[in-house]
Amino acid sequence: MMQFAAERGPYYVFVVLMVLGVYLLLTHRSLLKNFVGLYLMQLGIVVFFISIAVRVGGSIPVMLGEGHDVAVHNPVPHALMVTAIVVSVATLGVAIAILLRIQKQQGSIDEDVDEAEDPEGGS
Amino acid sequence: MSTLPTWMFLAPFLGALLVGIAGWSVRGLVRPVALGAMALTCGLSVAALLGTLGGEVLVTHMGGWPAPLGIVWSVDRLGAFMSVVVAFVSGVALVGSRATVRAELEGRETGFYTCALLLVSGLLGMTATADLFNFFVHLEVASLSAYALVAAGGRGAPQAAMRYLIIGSLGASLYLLGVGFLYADMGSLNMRDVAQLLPETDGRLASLGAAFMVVGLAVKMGLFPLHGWMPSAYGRAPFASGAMMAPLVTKVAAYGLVRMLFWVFGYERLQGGLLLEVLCWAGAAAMVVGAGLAFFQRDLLRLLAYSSISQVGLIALGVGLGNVSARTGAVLHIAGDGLMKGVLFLVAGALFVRHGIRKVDDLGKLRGREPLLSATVVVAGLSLVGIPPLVGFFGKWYVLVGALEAGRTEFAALIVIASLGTVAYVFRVLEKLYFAPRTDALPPAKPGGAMAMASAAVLAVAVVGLGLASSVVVQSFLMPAMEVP
Repeated sequence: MMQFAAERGPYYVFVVLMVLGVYLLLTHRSLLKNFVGLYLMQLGIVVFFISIAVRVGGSIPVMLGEGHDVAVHNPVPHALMVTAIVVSVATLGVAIAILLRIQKQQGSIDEDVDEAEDPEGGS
Repeated sequence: MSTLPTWMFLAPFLGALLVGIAGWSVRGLVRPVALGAMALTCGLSVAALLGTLGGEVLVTHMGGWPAPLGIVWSVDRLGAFMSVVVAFVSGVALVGSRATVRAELEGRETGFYTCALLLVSGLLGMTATADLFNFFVHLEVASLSAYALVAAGGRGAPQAAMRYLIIGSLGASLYLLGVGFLYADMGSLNMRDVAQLLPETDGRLASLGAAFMVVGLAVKMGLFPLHGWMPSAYGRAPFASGAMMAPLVTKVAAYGLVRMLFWVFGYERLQGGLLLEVLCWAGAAAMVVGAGLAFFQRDLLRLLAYSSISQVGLIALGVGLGNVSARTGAVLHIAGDGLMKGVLFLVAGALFVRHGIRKVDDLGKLRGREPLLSATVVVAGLSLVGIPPLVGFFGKWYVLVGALEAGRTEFAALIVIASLGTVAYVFRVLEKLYFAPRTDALPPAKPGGAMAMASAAVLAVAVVGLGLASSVVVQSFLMPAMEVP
């Protein structure tokens, strides 16, 4: 049982982060909380990618010359996830800028503004 | 090896950096620099098209590393065709954006032109990449620029942009998760390499990955029932932003779907499967529902948004049917709807600048005062309905032929029903423009918007031209381009 949990640990982290993220996305009206949910989901995906890079008994992916045939962790998912983290940080930046703009216009970011057309046609 | 595929998206990217520098030092140079970068981009994409006419594939190996170890960029005929559509429509929209930028984004020109060029860079990167992960990165470059372009609008726009950001990033995350499943299964991200490795796997992990990727792209292309972000984002975006992003963002995501389904997963493997069937029905539902809801919109931009949902549905149906006729129709319609929506968003912007009109009902107040704009609306509108020889007819025709070839008469019937819905909403607009009862007249038109009108006219001519040339384009170029090697 313990071994099972140890082997699948990263997958549980992935699943918990995804479920938490989807929960926040679906059940809250607040755009800020929705965004936090989205961010948790993106973190979950990062954990997923990192967990598929692991080799049992692997070491760091540095080649120490000829005859050094130790199993190494796959470095590619790490490189991908550095990029994905940059993308999600960029998304975070844009989201915060938009939320600030909402607050400047409305005085609050939680106010739920009409989805439908307003009578005078906006702007 | 050719470096053209990378220069195609680097040109607008470097242009965006230069625009930022110009905005910080010499404000007057912002627009000329942006237009210059856009002209260069158009030239490069035309060069790519000429270079691939005979079926050659332009390939760049980043850093000289061969595939599948290295990262590859490649442009084949389909990619070159999409690049030309993206560069042409966005270039013309950028030329036509002066008056709308002045009207709504005064003092924020630098931000607008930077985001617009980054958007083009992202879209061209999507058409040129041969790597599943780089597709994600470019998708996000394009999407983040689109969020910013929407958020620049007035009241309600930031909320619409935030909702767009959350739903859009969710779609991109699902796509990335799908790529993760494929990578876990095959250990490769190169599209061609994955396509070759796929038959050797048991296919379970790959099917899951494919499902996630398709759902993610469906969110990005606004496919019903995942279209929730579109009406408010298009309706609230500034006119200049709408003309840049609305014709293209969803279309290039649809191109991504074509690329993934036919070049990576392979039609033979998907044929008769659940994925394509769901795609067909979602597309058919989108066509009908989008056209129906478009009829009830009071806001002109929201009407165009629902029209886009309907047209994206036709594209998804063509992709889902998957035979050569249907997928050729889908790709032709990607180009056709890009041109038509370009015309209509530019016209909407010009009408707003000159008369302050945003509502469909207010079009009646024009009383024939804008003959050129009205004529372009007629061309784009009839093309949406599918009147030959306009380009909208041919896209729809090939999808229809594909549906009949596949023996799916129910989809052929739904295409006809959706066309009737399209007739209803297009003629509602045309009736207001030409036959509305005389009401109180508008004050005289404000000056400006000449470039927007000229740009709309250029795109309308392209709608006619691509329609007239479509038999040549399809037979000698698109059909062979859609044959997957």
